[in-house]
Amino acid sequence: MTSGHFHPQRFWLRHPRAARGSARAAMEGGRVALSSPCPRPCTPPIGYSARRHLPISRACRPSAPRAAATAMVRFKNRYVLCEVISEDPRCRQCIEDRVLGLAVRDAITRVHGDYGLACCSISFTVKYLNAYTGTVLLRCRKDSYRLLCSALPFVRHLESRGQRYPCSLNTLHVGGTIRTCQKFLIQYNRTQLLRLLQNCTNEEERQCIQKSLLSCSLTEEQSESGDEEDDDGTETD
Amino acid sequence: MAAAAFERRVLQSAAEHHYLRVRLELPDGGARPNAAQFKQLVVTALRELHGEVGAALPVDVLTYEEKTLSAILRVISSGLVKLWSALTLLGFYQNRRCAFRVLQTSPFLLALSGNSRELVLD
Repeated sequence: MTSGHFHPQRFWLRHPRAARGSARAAMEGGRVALSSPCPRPCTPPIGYSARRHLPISRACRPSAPRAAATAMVRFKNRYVLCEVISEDPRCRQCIEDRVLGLAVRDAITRVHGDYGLACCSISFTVKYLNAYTGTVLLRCRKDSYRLLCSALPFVRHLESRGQRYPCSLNTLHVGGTIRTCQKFLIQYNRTQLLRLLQNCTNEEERQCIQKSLLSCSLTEEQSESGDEEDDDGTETD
Repeated sequence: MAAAAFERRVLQSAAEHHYLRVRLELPDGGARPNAAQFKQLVVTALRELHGEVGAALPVDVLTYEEKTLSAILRVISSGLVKLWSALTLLGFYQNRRCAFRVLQTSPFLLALSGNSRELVLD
């Protein structure tokens, strides 16, 4: 954790308690609700860049003016976790965030018109994208996530470099934070592995999947133990 | 001696439909839409602003007068705001400027039979 840049996933794994308020706020647009004062002064954990930390440390300062505290409210977002399903293996190479964002926007325009597009465009981004597993995390404002979710089944193809591959989006989870989506994704992938294990035909496959299942739970145990150690280290500040 | 020939009805829940009296404003000397084209225009406006979901709203043209370009539309209550906003933001008919004026709106068709704003008082 000595690298200089801020890495959200690592940060979560290492500081579950410290991350509860500050990191989540930092991930969600850097705005914090000031109504509840921070229980203890926030100090940046190691590897947490000073630039990202600045607005939060200011927010947690007890001398923050009361008027500003009532006026500022956090913008609430919804994160939609989907998977890209395609028969064509070549589709995988055109899963990019720009292409996917355009396809989703196009579907919203078709289904909900200019009004729907304008509603969903506020803070709409592709937050996370894994071309290998076809996992996509979309973000939009809380007010308009129903418009987005209803338009997702209407994405029919991805288009890049003049080529068009048929595909569809399957919504897995809708969450309020990236963290809940990440938790869900880990749980989901684990159940998928178990399902694969049940459908195994020969012994070799079975062993392979058992190995991957064990490895996935093992890494998490390691990270959890790492959590506690790190927490002990940071509790002293 | 004769029983009252009328009865009073009170509608507690929200009405199922809303009715709008609208007028289409077109520049002089242009082609005037007939009833079918008028309905098409309304659906186009809905599709532009609210997409396929808007275009699928149950909207009916109850009456249409080609001479005055005024019509009475019936729309399901949940779609009233969508229809109204789509009509307001429509700007072109066959590449020429046009505008919809919503003159009256009511959950009761009977309320559109008269307009107090058009009364000539002496």
